[in-house]
Amino acid sequence: MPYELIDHTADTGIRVWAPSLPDLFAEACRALFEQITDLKQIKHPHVQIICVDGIDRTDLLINWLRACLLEWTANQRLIRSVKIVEIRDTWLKAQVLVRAFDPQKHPVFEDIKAVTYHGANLSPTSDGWQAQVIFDV
Amino acid sequence: MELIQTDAYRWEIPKTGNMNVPARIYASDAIMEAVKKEETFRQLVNVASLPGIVGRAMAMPDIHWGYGFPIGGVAAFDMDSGVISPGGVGYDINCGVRLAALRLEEKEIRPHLEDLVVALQKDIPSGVGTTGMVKLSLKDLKKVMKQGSPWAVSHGFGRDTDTGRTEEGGCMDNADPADVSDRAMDRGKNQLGTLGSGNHFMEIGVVDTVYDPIAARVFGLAEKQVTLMIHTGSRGLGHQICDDFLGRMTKKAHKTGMVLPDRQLACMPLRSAEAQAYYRAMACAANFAWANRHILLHMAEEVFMHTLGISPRDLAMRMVYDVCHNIAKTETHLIDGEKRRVCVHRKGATRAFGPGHPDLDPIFRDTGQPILIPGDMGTASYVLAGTQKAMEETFGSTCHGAGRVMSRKAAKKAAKGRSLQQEMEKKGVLVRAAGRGTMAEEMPEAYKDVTEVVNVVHGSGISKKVAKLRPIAVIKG
Repeated sequence: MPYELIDHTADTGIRVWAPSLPDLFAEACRALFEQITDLKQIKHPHVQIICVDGIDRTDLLINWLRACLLEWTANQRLIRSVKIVEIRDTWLKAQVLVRAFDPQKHPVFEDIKAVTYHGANLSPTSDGWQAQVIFDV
Repeated sequence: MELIQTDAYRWEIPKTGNMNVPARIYASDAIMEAVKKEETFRQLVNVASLPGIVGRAMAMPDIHWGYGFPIGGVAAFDMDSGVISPGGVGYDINCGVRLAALRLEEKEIRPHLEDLVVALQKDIPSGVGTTGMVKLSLKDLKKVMKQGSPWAVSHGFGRDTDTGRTEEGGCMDNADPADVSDRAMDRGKNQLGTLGSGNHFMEIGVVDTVYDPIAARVFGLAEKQVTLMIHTGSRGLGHQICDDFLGRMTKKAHKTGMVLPDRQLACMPLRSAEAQAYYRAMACAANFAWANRHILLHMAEEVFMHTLGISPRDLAMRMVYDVCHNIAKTETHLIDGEKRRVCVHRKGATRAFGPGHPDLDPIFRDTGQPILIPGDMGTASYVLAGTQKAMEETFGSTCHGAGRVMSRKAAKKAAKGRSLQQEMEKKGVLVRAAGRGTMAEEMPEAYKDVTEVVNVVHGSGISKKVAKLRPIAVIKG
C-alpha cells in the first residue's frame, strides 16, 4: 500500500493508492502520521474508536483525517495504526491505536496543522482506489 | 483567461463566465513571470465568482497559491448579498506582525547578540508542541478571547499605550467564546505566550534606511536604531476555529444546494446564523493572537533587560505598531461615491488605512497607519504607511510579506549539503531555529524578493515606503 508526497509551493500533501476503500483510509492516516513522527517509536498503544461522517466519499476522507489529526493537535496523542471497522459512502467507524505523545520518545518531524479541501480527490482506479490530500503546515 | 496589463503595476482579468466582478493583480513584470507558473489566477477568478463580492477581487504582489483564496488576496462583500468565508481568512486567524524599537544602536548590542539569541530561544517557547508560561484556566482563556491585548495589559504585560499602536486596539468587538468549540479551546489553552513553528519568528533588526523622515519620526523609528519584530498568530486555536467552520459550512452549503468552485471556499451569507457565529469565533482567535504577540513582546523585553543588564528606561522599548494579515472585518468604504458597510477579507494582506482615517489612533492621522512587511530571514523587512490611494483602490489594503516561490520540499533539496547558518552568519545575520528542517524550509531563496514586492505597492501608490530594516538575528520557530 504505497503513498507519495506531493510537492506544493506553500505546503505538503499525499497521494495514496490502495486496493480497497478501508485500506485507502487506513493508509491515508498512516501517511499523515508518518509526516509527524516515527511510527515505530509508538509503543504500547491503546484502542480508541473514531466515527465520522461526510457529504460524500471525498468529504468523508477529509473529515476522517481531520478527526485523526485532532488526536495530535488537541489531545497530544499519536496514532500508530488503524483498522476500519465499517465504511459507507458518507459514514465510517474505525478502531485506532493511539499513544500519548512523549517528547522524550517521539520525534516530531513536521507540525501538520490542518487537513484541507484544496485539490482533495478520491477516485476509483483499475485495481482499487486513489486519493490526494493537501495538509497545512 | 485574459490578463491585461494596464500600467507598470496593475493587471486586470476582465469579468467573464461566472465572475461577478473583474479581478486585479498588483505586480511587476518579474513578479508576474514567477506567479504565472501557479494556479493562483484561477483561485482569484473563483473569489471573483463568490456571491455579493463588491468592486474587484484583488491580489497583492506577494500573491501565491493558497487554499481556496490565494495568499495576498483581498475581497470585500456586501453585507446583505455577500458571504463570509473561513478559507478567505485562512487557518492562522490574525497571523500578524508586531514591531518595537529600542533606544540602542547596533554597535551596542553586537557584542551581546549571541547571548541575546540564546536567551530569547530559551525563554520564549518556540517550535512544535511547546506550551506557554501563561497557564490559563478555561475561564481565563475565555477572557483572553473576549478582551485581547487589554487582557494582557491588565495582567501586567506591556503598557496600555501599546493598544493605540495595535490594529483595532488589539481587540475586535463581537468576540463570543460561546461560538468556539471545546477542541479549539483545548488547542489554545496552553499556547498563549508561544511563538509556534513554521514561518513564525522573532527578528532583531536595525533601521537601515529611512525614506520618509516625518512618518518615521511619528512611528518612532530613526536610522541605526535596533528593532524587534515578532511574527506569529492565534496558534492552534485559530486553526481549529477555521477547520470547524469549514466543515460546518461545507455541510450547510451542500444542504442548501450552494455550488462552490472549490470546497475550501466554503462560505455562508453574511446574514446567516452560521456566518455570524464564525465572525464571533474568528474575533476570539484574533483577540487571542493580539494578546499572544503582546505577551511575547513583553517577554522579549525582559530577556533584553536581563541579558544586557540594563533598566527599562535605558532599553526604552517602544511599540511601533501591530498589524494583522489574516482576517475578515466589517468596515465602511466609499464605493462608487457611496459610503457602504462591507466585509473585507484580507488573506495574507495587511490593512493600509490612509491619513485621516477615523479608526486610527490620532498620532497616525497625518501619516496613515504603519504597515509592517517582514521579508525572508536574510534580506530585509520594511515599514510602510497607508495611503489615500489604498482607500480608493484596495479597501485600504496592501501586501503582507515576500511570499513563497519554492516549496518546502524543494527548499530542503536546495539546502542539502549547505550550512545555511554559516551562510547567514557571513551576511551578518545570526540565525537559530527550533525545528528540524525549519532553517532549510525558510531559506531566503524560498521567498520572493521582498524589495520587489514593496516596490510594487509603493510604485502603485497603495502604500508608501517609510523605512527599511536590516536583520541581524533571527529566531525561527
